[in-house]
Amino acid sequence: MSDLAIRADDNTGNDPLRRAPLALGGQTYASVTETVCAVAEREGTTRAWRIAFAVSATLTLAFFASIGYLIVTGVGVWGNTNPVYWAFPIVNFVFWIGIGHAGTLISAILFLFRQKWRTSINRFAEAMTIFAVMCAGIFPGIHVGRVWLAYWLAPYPNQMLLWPNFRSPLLWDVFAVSTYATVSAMFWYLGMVPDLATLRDRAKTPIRRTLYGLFALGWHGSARQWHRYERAYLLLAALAAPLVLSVHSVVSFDFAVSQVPGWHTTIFPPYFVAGAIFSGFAMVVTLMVPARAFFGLKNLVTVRHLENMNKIILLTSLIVGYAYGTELFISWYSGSTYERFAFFNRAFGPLGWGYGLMVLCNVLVPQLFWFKKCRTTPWIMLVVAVLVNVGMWFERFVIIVGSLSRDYLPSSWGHYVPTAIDLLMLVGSFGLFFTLFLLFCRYLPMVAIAEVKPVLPVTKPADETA
Amino acid sequence: MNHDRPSVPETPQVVAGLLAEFDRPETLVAAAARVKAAGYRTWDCHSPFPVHGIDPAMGIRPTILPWLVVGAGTAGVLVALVMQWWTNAVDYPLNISGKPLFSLPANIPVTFELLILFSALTAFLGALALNGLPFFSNPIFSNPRFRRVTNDRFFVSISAADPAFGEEATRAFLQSLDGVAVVEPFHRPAAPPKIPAAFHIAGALAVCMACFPPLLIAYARATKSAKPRIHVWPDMDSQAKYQTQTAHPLFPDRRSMRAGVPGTVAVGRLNADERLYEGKDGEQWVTSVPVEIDAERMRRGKERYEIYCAPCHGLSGEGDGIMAQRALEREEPWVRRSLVDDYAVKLPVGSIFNTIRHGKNTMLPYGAQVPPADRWAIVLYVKALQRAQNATIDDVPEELRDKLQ
Amino acid sequence: MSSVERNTKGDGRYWRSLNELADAPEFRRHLEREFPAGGDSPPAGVSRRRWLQLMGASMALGAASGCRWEREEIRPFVKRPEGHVPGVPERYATAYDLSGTGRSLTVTAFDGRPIKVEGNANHPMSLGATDAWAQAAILEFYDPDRNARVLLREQAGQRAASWDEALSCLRAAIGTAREAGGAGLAILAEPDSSPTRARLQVRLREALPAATWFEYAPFSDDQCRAGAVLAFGRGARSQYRLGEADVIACLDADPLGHHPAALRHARDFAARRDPDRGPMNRLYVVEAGYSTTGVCADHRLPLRAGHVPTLASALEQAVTVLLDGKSPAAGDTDRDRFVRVLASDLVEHRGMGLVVAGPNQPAAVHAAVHRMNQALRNAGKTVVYTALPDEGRPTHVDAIGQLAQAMRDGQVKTLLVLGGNPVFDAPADVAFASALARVPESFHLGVYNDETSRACRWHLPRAHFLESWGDVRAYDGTYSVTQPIIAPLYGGKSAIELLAALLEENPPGPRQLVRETFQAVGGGASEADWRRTLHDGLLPESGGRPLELFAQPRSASEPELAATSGDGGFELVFCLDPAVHDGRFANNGWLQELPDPLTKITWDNAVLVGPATAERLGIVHESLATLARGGRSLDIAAYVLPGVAEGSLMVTVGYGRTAAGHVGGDTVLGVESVGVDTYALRTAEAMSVATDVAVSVAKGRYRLATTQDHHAIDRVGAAGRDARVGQLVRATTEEHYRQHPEFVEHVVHTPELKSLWAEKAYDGHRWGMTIDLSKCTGCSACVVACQAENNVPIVGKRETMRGREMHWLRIDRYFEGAPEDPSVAIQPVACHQCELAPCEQVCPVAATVHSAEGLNDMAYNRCIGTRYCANNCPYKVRRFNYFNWHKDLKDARNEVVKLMYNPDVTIRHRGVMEKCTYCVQRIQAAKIEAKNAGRAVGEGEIQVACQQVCPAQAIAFGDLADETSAVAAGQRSNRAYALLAELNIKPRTEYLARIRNPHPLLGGTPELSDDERSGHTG
Repeated sequence: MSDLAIRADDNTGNDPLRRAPLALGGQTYASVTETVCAVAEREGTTRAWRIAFAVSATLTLAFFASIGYLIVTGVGVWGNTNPVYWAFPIVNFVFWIGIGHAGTLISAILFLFRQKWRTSINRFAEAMTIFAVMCAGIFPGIHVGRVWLAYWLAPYPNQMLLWPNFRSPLLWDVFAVSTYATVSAMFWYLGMVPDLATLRDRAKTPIRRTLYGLFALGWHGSARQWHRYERAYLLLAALAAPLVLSVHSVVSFDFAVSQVPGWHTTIFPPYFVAGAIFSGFAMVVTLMVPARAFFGLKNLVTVRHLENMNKIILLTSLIVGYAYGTELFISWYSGSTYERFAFFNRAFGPLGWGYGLMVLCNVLVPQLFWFKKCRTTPWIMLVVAVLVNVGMWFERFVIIVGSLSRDYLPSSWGHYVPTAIDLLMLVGSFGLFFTLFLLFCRYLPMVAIAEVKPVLPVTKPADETA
Repeated sequence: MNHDRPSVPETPQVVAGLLAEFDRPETLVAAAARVKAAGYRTWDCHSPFPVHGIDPAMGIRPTILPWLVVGAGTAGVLVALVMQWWTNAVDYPLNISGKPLFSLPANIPVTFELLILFSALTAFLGALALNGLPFFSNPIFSNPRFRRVTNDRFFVSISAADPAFGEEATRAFLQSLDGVAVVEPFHRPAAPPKIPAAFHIAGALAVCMACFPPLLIAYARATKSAKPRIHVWPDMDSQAKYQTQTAHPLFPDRRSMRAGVPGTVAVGRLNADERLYEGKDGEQWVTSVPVEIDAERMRRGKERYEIYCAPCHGLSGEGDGIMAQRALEREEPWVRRSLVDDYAVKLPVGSIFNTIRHGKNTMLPYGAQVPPADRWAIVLYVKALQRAQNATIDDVPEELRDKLQ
Repeated sequence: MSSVERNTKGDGRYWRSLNELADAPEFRRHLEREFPAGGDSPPAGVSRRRWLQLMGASMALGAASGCRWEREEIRPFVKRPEGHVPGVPERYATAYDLSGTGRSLTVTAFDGRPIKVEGNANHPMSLGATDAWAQAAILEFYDPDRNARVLLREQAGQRAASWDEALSCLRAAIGTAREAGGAGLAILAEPDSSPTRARLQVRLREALPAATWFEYAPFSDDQCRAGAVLAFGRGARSQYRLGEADVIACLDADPLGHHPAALRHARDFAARRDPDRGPMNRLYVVEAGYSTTGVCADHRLPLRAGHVPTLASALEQAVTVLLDGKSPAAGDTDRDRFVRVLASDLVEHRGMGLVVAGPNQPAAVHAAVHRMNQALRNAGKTVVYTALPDEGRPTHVDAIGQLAQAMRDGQVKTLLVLGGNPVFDAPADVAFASALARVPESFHLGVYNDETSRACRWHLPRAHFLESWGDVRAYDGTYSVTQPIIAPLYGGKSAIELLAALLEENPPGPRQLVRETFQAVGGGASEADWRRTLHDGLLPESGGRPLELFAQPRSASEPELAATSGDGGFELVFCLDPAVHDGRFANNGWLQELPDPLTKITWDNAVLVGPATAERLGIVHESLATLARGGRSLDIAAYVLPGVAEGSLMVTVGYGRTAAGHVGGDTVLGVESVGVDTYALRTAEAMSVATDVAVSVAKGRYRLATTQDHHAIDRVGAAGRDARVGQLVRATTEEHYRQHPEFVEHVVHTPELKSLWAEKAYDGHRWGMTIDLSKCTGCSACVVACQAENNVPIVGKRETMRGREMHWLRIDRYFEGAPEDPSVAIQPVACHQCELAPCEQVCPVAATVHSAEGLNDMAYNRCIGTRYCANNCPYKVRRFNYFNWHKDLKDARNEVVKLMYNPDVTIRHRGVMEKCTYCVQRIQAAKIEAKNAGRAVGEGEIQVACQQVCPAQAIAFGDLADETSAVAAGQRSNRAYALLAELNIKPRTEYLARIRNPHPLLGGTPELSDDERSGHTG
């Protein structure tokens, strides 16, 4: 993508006297509407989109095919073994859940902090969240040995008179993840209602009008509606913010509450949450950089937005790096033979390469963002973001597989080798993610129109902030 | 959805209200203030995004939504705590890792999640409900201009239902507002709109479909089927092992239960004492009971006799048991077998013991049901019956004889 | 029988095929008699047709139970056998013969079906224990590969025939032989202690004097016999009294492992390994590779098998010198010091010492040992001699050689092979198969249609010992009768039945045959004695009388004791395999998957080399090595095992079967054979040790399926492992233990362990277990016993390689010290039934919870398989069903296998977690019995499977609440420690620290010289 657009009018300056605009190219209400809706209203689809969709759809099919194979054959089709009872599926689960944190975080927390620059990217990020959570939700479901009985995790009255065990972190997971999925879906949809109304009112064909109209629920932008709407949005944000933090904390409990050396660590909750935000923002950047180019949103999703995200990536990278250090120190300081070994082995044992990769991608590479040039050059940030995602996947791999393969009794140490199905499911989950994402880009408003308009320069200068 | 179709001239329309269009948020705010001042009640402002400062201008009072959410949150907490306490500590308490049945720390995560879930649902649904959404047939959509409200135009709408509404006066009033671009009416059909037949058919169809599952269930419950029930995941309901008294296809008699090989001796079945276990002494039947005789054993014998023998041989041993009687009533062939006639009296005890064990003629063997000790007890009791049934007056002690007279 | 008819007349489609069967006249006859005398097996004549029908039936069964609940049917006895209560297991004393020695057993039958084998507690050679092979007999009995039919080989291949055909053909052959007084008839039998067979053999000799009778087994005690002849002038059998011995010296001998009396030896030996009960004995072992005895040794000298003779002579000299009051020759190599100390120790404990030589050593060594034992006045005390049952038979090697020669010369017209599998296990240079091809009429009586059966013209199905009458003599000569537990499943005959059938047209039944022998053995014993013998499983006082023997000094004729292998080069040592024996158990999945006690290899054999030798050869772990010898060569995976003597290459035999069956490999079925056939390198003159072997590294690597160290372990891992072995397997020397009785507490120091909540109190039973590491020899019988008792599936080589083995009980093995001469630590680990079980709290569906008696119960039906519990188990004893391991039972041919499973234990489905339950079904059974009898469960009334089978009685199980119970006493003892106690999980299983008794002069320094060793770091 050409940097000319940015050169033309740069809004990445930090001059406090000159407030940088959040949208470029002298946007009016109509032009914003036009820019965003044009994507959804375009007749036919571009070749690039079709190719991308074909690829991801194929992967999705492969994903579900392998799930079917898994269910009829048994979880043995994975590489899981004694003692590595958890492996790729759980790694993927934690990875996707982590990704799923950026959206709600951007929408909720930045909203509470009145960070107006969120408006151009929150819709996008929330969508990504929903899809990531969908990918994540699949794995624990198919991970159990008897998938057809997974519903026993729910506390429902049954003829066995049995209830789930509320002491188990896995059950906490069930509640946390399902709550998170529900709330972020509502948050996303509620935010989208006015924009769906926009699409409804611009719709040319009856089908579009009917469908968009159906989901717009008959919104007519009355001041009274706006009043309750904003209040509800604020409340959801206020609820979602702690929820985001709780979800990954609970996921980290799966490990922290157990007594496997390398898992039994008190810093896991903050460490996991930071990691989640880290990977989530990286994923937003990964998707945003190409998307804003393909769909001509450069003036709404400006380099300044990306730069702000890169700053957060840099911050969280530092937190994560600090956590790595703390882990090592505590394991040494604990004086426990097993803890010490677990971490020594993590760094220098058979999976040491994974640990190295993790440190490289999560701690060293993001340091590039200290340089403005790297923060503001799309292709560089793209590369960094992709590497961060790779690194974060390996972080989970190292924690889960590394710790399990060597715990207390050396006699039962094991060796883990993923199978083709493992890899297929990893790739397949990306397929599902991108399929949903491409559909979103094509048919739904990628940018929160109604939220961008108030922060446009054309609105009263009072509303203009950075 | 009405707003989807442009207003059709032939259906008679009446004015539902007036729209005033603006193109700047500020002018809308100013206009709102004046409409309020003019004393209109059922009116509203419409804008593509929340307009700063419109609420005071229109005098909108804060919504009660937050209070609903607080209530829901509290409910969530209570539900979570009660659920976890009742299920794990009251309804089905289990000793898990020796931990207490209920302890707050372990229950906080779920409590927190439910707090959020309940609150969020309330915030979302509450907002829709209070906003009266979904509402597809809003007459205001009947004016095509209004479609720009979601794009770049701002409107004031005054409903015809407003007591202060008069088409001409209100129109004049609206036109007097500064910054106003256009004033136009919006309509609603005079008669409530006709719902197209397709909707009726679809609805009817849906209802019919909905009836199927309950009907099927009712049918299944009412009728009987010879087939075993459907079983998709066998899991561990039928296992590849043979419980007792099951069938096995590989044996000609198809019993998975096999009889021991003749001549083998199982542990604990040595039964060395031939007199006790066979009732034999060499080739001869034993003539005296090889167990010590006492009242307890006699009682036991009576009890066992009445359970196993009396049905045919009768309580008195004369062969008039209930089976015999029934056979006589139904005139079925029946050999009445008395245990107290001369033949029986002459039998050596060993032989009686052996008959109990192996059966005789139509009598089934009782070896499996009656263990040797009990067999001897029965033999004892039979002997006693024989004695009693063939007793003479001499057998009665002197002092009691007169009682018999 | 009415019920039978009712049910045979069509209910449901699946029995229709059996209705035809019901019309078959012989089946009518079955219906007439409730319990057919001929057993419930199909009459031999129609067995094949019947078999197919039944197969059809069971296939239909598969079809019928599609996606619906399977149709259940009740099949009671109409006339219940007296004293039989359906569902209440019965026990029968019986016995079987394993390569010439009888072993007495007690078999549990559920509804008349044998489902579990135990040792016979009355029998002096068993005392209730068995080895792994006996445990696995059940699987062999129900093996569908056990051949059901007589087979006749023709050009087209084998075809089914009938017993009548076979017998008439055999009788005809004998008829022709009879003219020549039996010349041309040869019988090759596997060694068998059966007196009945001996009796019939004599009758056969009388009937056909010119007929020849040979015996062959690939592993025999011929050298011991020859040694006795050298020393005493007559053959004799040494009976060791290990319990009496304070000092035991094993010269390449394995009295605790591959010895016919190993069970009794282990019991006596272990009784002397408890420092709290009297003084301990001291065990010296000289051996090339690791044997069970070597694992238990206080001092082990790795030495080439070929060098043992020189060591023996050195020892003999040293002993004589010392006895003369002089001091032995100096010399300060490890070996010299070892000999010197051993000699002095033996002399010190004169009359309470014991020297043992192994069957692999030449006769001269045995002679020397006999002389030593006599000089040391051990003879008569720690070792007594009994007569040989078959004095003066030719050695097995000679026998097979002579027979092969005779066959090649065409002297043998008819060959009858009674058991054994000579085509597979005869010495390679004898070329038995090619010789056999020259014999016109050959018959093989075998349990399987194996290599020999396929090379012979006729295969005759042999009845398994669980379904046939017979008799045996134990190693000490005690007489036992083999009772059939069930009527023959397939129309097989036992060896004695076949012999009797040769002797007369219509012979007496097998029971009668044995009964007649008993008459002779028991000296006119009465029917009551007979019944008592059947009941007790032995005839008391029938053992061999001790002989008064005197060892002459070495005669001039006797060869000088010389090394049989040089210092350079390599020696190849052939060993019996701890799993598949000499190959006979190759089709037994339980044994194939039983990890080798030392290497932990399953489903394979490998060549074991010491680290030094490996370096010399440039061999690395799991690289392929080519062993070549006399023009024959084979490629086999190398396993670098610490403690194997420099220059020694150890291989076990019995693998590479080509006609074993669906498990062990079968070329006809297209099943790849398991492991490599090492008999190919074994020749008549080198049956135990081959010195002229050439070794080279072959291309490529070969992955062995081991259950421990699943992959070659890296430096970090090795360091971590070595750091904690001392904490996991706590051990010290007797000397140190006497000074610091409480030493176990100081191995790991932890702050006081407290729970954050009030812990549950258990009133009533508190089941617990102790495992005495001083006694455990790592023989692995418990692993198979557990498998048999608890329906534990096998998973096959591929899955074992992945680490998915299902054994509930595993035996951990660690090496300590220098790789050339390490000491081995053995530790059986099963579920510890923690009171604060970490597995329970993490299960989201409460599928694993605590019982009122403190057992960590597993509710299979509630388990959804999150595997979280297994992650959180510090002992990693939980096992997960990654697949449906029982899937192949759906196959109709495996219908019979279902009869084997213990009905009291769930057959676990895929996706379910499982683990050791402390044999909860046995606990419940005992409790019910006690309740019915209106009393409390008594101490020792409940024996868990692993405890019951353990020859060393290393495992104690019982009620901790009962202060007097053995297990409570054990956990009170000084040596008791809980594994990973620092986690505060309160395991119910505790270990008793291993105490060694090294000689002060031979590195007798305690491994734990001070408490600081690792305690204060932990």
